[in-house]
Order: sequence, then C-alpha cells, then structure tokens
Amino acid sequence: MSPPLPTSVPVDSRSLATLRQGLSVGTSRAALPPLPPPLDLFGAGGEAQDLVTLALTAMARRFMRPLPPARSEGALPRRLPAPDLLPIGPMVRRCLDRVARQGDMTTRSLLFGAALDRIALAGFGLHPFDLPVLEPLLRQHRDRIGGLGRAYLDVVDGKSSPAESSERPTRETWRQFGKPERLAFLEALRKQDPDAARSLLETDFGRDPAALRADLLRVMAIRLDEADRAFLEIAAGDRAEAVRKIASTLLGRLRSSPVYAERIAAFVARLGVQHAPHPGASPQGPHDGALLRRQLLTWKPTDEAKTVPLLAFCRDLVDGLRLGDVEAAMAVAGTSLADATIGDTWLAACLIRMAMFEGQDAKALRIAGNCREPDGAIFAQMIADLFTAVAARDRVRPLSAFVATGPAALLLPDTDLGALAQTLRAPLPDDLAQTLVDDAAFDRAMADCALPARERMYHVAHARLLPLAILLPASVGGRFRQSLSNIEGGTALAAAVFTDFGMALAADTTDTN
Amino acid sequence: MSVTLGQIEQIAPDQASLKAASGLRSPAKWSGVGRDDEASLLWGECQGSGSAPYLVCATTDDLGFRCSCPSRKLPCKHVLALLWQHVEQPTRFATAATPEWVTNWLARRRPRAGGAADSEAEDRPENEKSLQLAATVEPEAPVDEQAAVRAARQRERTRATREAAVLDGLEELERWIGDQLAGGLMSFVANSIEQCRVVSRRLIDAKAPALAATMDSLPDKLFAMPKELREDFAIDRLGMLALLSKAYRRQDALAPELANDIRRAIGWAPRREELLADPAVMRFDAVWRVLATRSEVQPDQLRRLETWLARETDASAEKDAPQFALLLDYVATGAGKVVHAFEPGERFSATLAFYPSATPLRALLVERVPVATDRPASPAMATLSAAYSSYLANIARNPFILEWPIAAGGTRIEDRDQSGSWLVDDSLELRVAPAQQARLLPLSGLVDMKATGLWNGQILTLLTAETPYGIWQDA
Repeated sequence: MSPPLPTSVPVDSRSLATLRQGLSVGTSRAALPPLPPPLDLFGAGGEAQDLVTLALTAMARRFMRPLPPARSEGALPRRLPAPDLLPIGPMVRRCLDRVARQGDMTTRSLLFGAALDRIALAGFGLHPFDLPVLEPLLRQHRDRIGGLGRAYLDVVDGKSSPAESSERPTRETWRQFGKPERLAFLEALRKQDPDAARSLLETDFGRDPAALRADLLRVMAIRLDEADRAFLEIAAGDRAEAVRKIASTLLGRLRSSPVYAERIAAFVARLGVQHAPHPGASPQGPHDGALLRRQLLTWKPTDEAKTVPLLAFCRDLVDGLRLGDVEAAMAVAGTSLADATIGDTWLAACLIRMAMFEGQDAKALRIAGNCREPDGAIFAQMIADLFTAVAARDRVRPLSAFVATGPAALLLPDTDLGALAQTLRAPLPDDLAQTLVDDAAFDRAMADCALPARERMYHVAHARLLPLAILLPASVGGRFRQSLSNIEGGTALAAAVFTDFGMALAADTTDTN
Repeated sequence: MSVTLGQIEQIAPDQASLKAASGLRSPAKWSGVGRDDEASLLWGECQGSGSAPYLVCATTDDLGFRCSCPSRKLPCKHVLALLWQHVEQPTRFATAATPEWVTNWLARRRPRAGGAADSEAEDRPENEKSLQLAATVEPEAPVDEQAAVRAARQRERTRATREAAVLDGLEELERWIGDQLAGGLMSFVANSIEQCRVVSRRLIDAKAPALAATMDSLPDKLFAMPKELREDFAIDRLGMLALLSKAYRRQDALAPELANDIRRAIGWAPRREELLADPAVMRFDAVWRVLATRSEVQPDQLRRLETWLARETDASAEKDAPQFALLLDYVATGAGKVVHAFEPGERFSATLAFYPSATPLRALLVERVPVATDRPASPAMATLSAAYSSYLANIARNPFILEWPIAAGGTRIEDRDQSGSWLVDDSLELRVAPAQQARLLPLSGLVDMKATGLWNGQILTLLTAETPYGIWQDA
C-alpha cells in the first residue's frame, strides 16, 4: 500500500470561509473569489473555473478539523440515571419488541402493559436501550414502567434537569425532584420506616400545591398506624378539599377514631336477612348466631353504589375495617360471619376484603366458598381486587375457591377475563393454571375457538385469548402455545407472541437465579 | 421422520424449480451444512450470485423451510436442493450445534397445522414435476467459434456505446452543477429534491446507475443533516461530483486502483466471476464481526443491501490489512420481504476478496466458517483523533469516498439537547446524525465506550457501541 499522504492543508481558513459564502450566494450575483494559495495552482480558467473552485473548496474543507459549536455556560448534557433494576436479557428484549409491535394499538397497549407487570414481578426492569423505541407505549403505562422509564420520559419532556436525572432523592434533597421521584421515594421510605416518612411529609407539608399534597398524603395508607393520627387530623383541616377528603378516609381506618366506629355501624346497618328463621330457632332477632348458618345474609346497597364503579365503592366502604369489629357490632355470640351463607356477591366481596386485611386468609376462603350463586363477572373482579389489596400474601386460595367450582369457569363468557387480567396484573399460580389447562373443558374451549364463529358451542370469542394469555403463567405456556397453533387470526398470533415472551422471561429468571 | 423424493416433488412450485435445484446439488456450492435429528432440522449455506451465501434451513417433520434469497417461488431452488441432497447424500449432513440463525427462525415460526401436505403445489395438478427429469444432464452444445467472436464484438460495441453515453451524461452533469452554482447553493438546498430527481433520471439514461443513485439519495442525506450544516454538505457532495466528472475523463492518467474507484462510482463494476478469477485481487482471511446491515431502494428499482464488517484484529495481523469491509447485494424491489444474510453482532471466519481500490472496502465473501458467538473482549481501539486521522488518510488517497467507518475506544456520547448528540473523547468531538439522537439518549453519560460509525464528512452515523449495558446497535 502507498505511504500515507499529507493530511493537513495549509489553506487559510478565512479564505475558505469567503469561498463558502460565494458558493452559497451564487455566481449569478457575484463572481467567486479567487482560490487562495496553494489551491490557485490548480486554476483552469474560463467557464470551467467555477467547477474547479467548487471541487477544490470541497476537498480543502474536508481536511479541516471539525469544530463543535460553542456550548452554553453551565449547560450539562442530558442523561438518564443508572438502572435501578437488572435489565431484561437479550432474548426477552427481542420477545418484548415483538409484543410491542403485535396487532392494533389496543392490542399492543394491552399486551405491553401485561408484559411490564410480568417484568416487574420477576424483579427486572426495562433495558435502557429499548426506552426510546418503546416511548409511545411507555407513555401509556407510566405507572408500570419503573423509575428508569419515568426518568427517561421526564428527560425527554424536559421536566427534570440533567443533574437531577443522574442523582437520586434523599431526605435532604427530595423536595428538589419532580412528583414521580418524590412519590416513589416516599413510598419506599414509608414501607421501610413509617415514622420517618410521616415526619418528612409533615415538614413543610403546606408548601406543595394541593394536588401534590393529596398524592403524597395517599402514601400514608401504607402501614397506616395510630401514630399517624395526629398528623392526619391536622390534614383533615387542610385548606384543599382533596387533601381533607383523603385525610378523612385514612382517619376512618384508624380504630381509635370516631369515624371508624361510624363506618362499622353504617355497614352493619345495611346487613339483612333474606329468609325467615329456621323453625325451632331462638326468636332473638335476625342476627342470632344459630340462624346465620341457615339463612342468607344480604346487604342493601346505597344509592351511591348504583352510580359509581362498584368495586371502588366497596373499597371506600370497607377498606381498613376489620371483620372482627363487624362481628362484634352485630353482637353475634360465638359465630363468625365466615360461616354465614352469603346471598349477595358484593357482600361477599366486602367481607373477604375485611378478612384479608386482618390476615384472616382462612376466613376469606370460607366466605368465598359460602357465597351462594356468585355472579361470575363480579366475582372475578372481586378476586382480582383483593389480590391487589394484599399484594404480598399468598393469592392462591381465594381464587382456588372460585376455580373449585370448575376450572372451565374461567372460560365462561360471563367471566370477565379482561377485567380479571387487568386488575390482577399477575399470572395465575402455576398449580392453578395447570389444573385449568388439564381440564377437558379447556381443550373444548380452545378447539371451539378454531371453529367459525357461527359454529362455536361455547361462544368463546377470540378476544378472550388475549386475557387468557396474560393470565396463564409460563409453566403452561408450551401447552397454551400448542392449543393456539390451530387457531387462525391476528388475535391468536398476538396471544402466541405474548406467551413466547412469558416463557422467555421465565427462562431469563431461571438463568439469573 | 425422513424426507422422500416424492415429497420434494410434491412441494416444488414447478419443474423449472426442480431443474434449478438440480444445478445446486454440487457440494462445492454449499458450506456449513448440518442437521439436528432431535429437532428434525437441516441447514446449509448456498453461494448465489450475491456477495454473501444464502442461508437455507428446513424441518424434515413438517417440511417447513426458510431461505434468505429473494426468490418469490416457495420453496425456492435452494430449499429444494438442500432437501434433495439430504435424501441422496445424508452423510454430508453431520450432526452439529444448531446455528443461531436457524434457532431464531424456529423461535419465530408457528408450526404448520396440516403438516407437509399443505403445499400450494398440490393445487396445480397440471404441473408435472419430476426430480428424475430435473437431474437429467443435457448434452453440451458444440462450441460455435464464429458465434463467440460475434458475441465478443457485440460486447465491445455495447461497452463503447455505454462509454459514450456516460461521457454525455457527465457533460450534462457538469452543466447542471454550473447551474446550481449560478443560483447559489443556498437555493440548491431548498430545491434539491426536484433538481436531483431530474438529473438522476438523466444519469440512468446515461448508463451511470451508481452515480444516479448518489444523486437520487442526495436530498435525503442533505435533509438528514442539521440545518446549519446543509450548505457545507452540498459543497462537499457537488464538489466531489465535479471532481469525479473531471477525473473520469483522465482515468488513464491515474493509478489503476483509483481509476477502479472512479469507474465504480459511475456504475461500472466487475462481475463476481471476473473478480474471483483475477489472481491480482487482494484476498484476506480473518475473523469478521457484522457491525450493521442497511438497505436502500435505488432509482433503478433495485434494493441495495449493505453489510458492514469489522475485522477482529490480533497481534499477528498485517499492519495495512483492511480494518473494515462492505458486502453489497442488490435485489429487485418486488422480490418480497427483505432478508439480510447476516445479523448484527454475528461473527464468522471468512476469506474476503476486495474489489481493487485505492482504499479497499467493498468485498465479496469467498468462503465462510461460523465461529462461536461468545467472543473475546475486543482489543483496545484508537482514540477518536487517531481514527479521524485514518479517515483523512483514506480520503487523501480516494477523494470519492462518500462515507467511511470510524472506530474509537474510550469515547462517550453527550446529548446536548438542542445542540444534538456528539461522540466525544478528550481529543475530538464528532456530531452524530440528528435522526439518532433520541435513540442515543440512554447512552449519554456512559463512559469508555468502543464506538463504530460511518462518517460522511459532516456527521457520524453510529453503527454499534460496546457499553457497560451491553452492545448497542443501530436499528
């Protein structure tokens, strides 16, 4: 190969700039300036001179060292914080990319949200390199994308300074950060040290805007305790209604507060008995313990319950109340509400919620089993709802009670799988899922899906394949994948893509462990 | 389950496919053949007319298949030839570890519900397909010497006609550049789309397809630049084109390698067979890593597929050995889904034959052997300044380079928001393509990266970067 040629050009940069200006303006306005030395050695003269000047100017400029523009004083480059969780591996990333591009916008959003939940459950986080590509979906699921995802969006939106995006809040600096960072920090601190979190919030509580104060105050629901009462009573007198409302709700969960007793009384007042007492029973009134085993316990909903989402109403009604306190208020001697036959699915939902809050899982299970003719759709929502309420504890048994009525119940048209999947935000336990896919009804339902709509016996619409894919864990992924192979259409394909993602994530988790 | 000849006949689209497949049964055309009996998989690489072999695989239980060739016939002749060889010479298919490209295909594949009998060819009972007929070797026609002489003269006449057309085209190009200079390059930038389209069509008519493609893509590349750099880019490109036009007329006075670069920039290129038959062509053995793959539709309706390679250097490597290589393939735009033969990050040991050039870059893949995907840590790389100096040395040898690979270690990305993203180290700062800024935000602030990109004289298009978070690759 020939020896290297000289790579510096001894041409005056000002002359080159003048030539550049002449070329920009055009030769019809003014003749190009003459070439500076030594380029003038290549002059062609005549009509061709302009092209020669252009060519030589271009070549000379190539050898000029690139100069960056002047930087603004004090301006720091934008950057993201380091990932707070181990990012998902390459295979999972590829599968997630396919999930994110599968189907129409609604399908993509549904599946991507479910994928985020699975990633979080597995203890992983999104890979930083994927954030820009996934940005539209990240915005739709801001609450599920983790700290790094939220930080990315904030940087892109210009909401946090470069310095902040590379640091984490501390007790001393948390006020300097944006709302997502402050909420996340306070939640983490509250779980770890409730008193410290309360003290931090109390300090200068009134300085923040009303909406932010309300959001921060909600965090007090975590590990709520009598020690929080004094602060909540102050907050109950806040100038903003939103703050007062939240404070009152939280106070209503403290047993020592008058509001708590009022809530218990209000709940008990709406309990009713549907049938006449059993012959021979003691005529002491509808709440006689012996009668409970033979009668249907019902509940009269308020007018408000008819206009707001019922599960939300249920939560507001009983959150923080203890089943034991309801039983005590009913003056039922020696009998638990868990033994009563429940004639109303909503009442069962409320009682289960209270039992789970007390950690009385066995009672919650008995209540679920005593619910007479449960409404499938509502029951599914209820089960999902209580899972989110007691996130750290075993979720199997309440759902087992439901599925014990027949695994295929999950496939029935009136079981709102979509609501169950979206509220549960987690796959079914492995053993439960295995029971489901081993059941002949599952095979029948999946075979039914492969038929034209007018020929289907179970009327299992393809749209239910997506929540089913979301609900089924990786342990039965292969089985489900196989059953999808006979079903045509984009929904089946989307379900298959999501199932592949779930299996890849499970394999990644296993490898890491 | 093993494949039978009858099944191959059944799935073949037509007799012509079987005939073509017959011509591909020679082991010399195949490399890397293997099988996995447990997964019922077969695979192999078949050299076609492109720069890289076609990747072919099939399942023997339900006769699924995949080939990276652009053929619209399914299965293509390569798949048929693979299966045919397996039936006739099963011992050629040694049991081996399944290559990653086969695994990836299998992972994306949905099993065929009906099995091997679902071929569309079944619906065309009127097509008689016979492997026996396809395998029949027709006797060679006797050589007609006079016809050969006539053909050679015709080729020469065609060549001379094309040379004349090219020269006319270049003359028109120079007039066009002069017109742009008259109006000023500020005005040219604003009107570049229409202006370049017109001259590109004329250059196609002038039988200068590569030059036509350069003109056609100029507006896109211009507007991909930051606004403040567009006029500089216009000066660079039009100046280079003016120089190219002059140089073409004086190529006899130039070094042969540079003359080759000039002719290729116009659109003259030796055929693969000619290149491989030339003993003077530089061949180089090394382990190569795929940096990136790109594709672009040209004005002549061909899709240009680029595969950028980097040589994994070692202490024994020749000092002047090419550090990078570019494989180019062209497929018709109507040939269906584009399938690159390689995936970024893939490694293989290969002999590359480089097109004669003052700055060898474009190459043909002569022979390839896959290597383990786990690779040793890449060696230390030069500083950005040293890499840039290497770029300057190359454009000094060959001023017709449009973009050149730059690789440097110890770098970092700085996202300066409105001022764009920059690849920097302590010695130099290079502006990164604006279109990549959003994707590079997660890299901003990471230090000690090994980055490789393509520098076009004004901006860098990052191809790949080794970072603490793993390898980043351009989409």
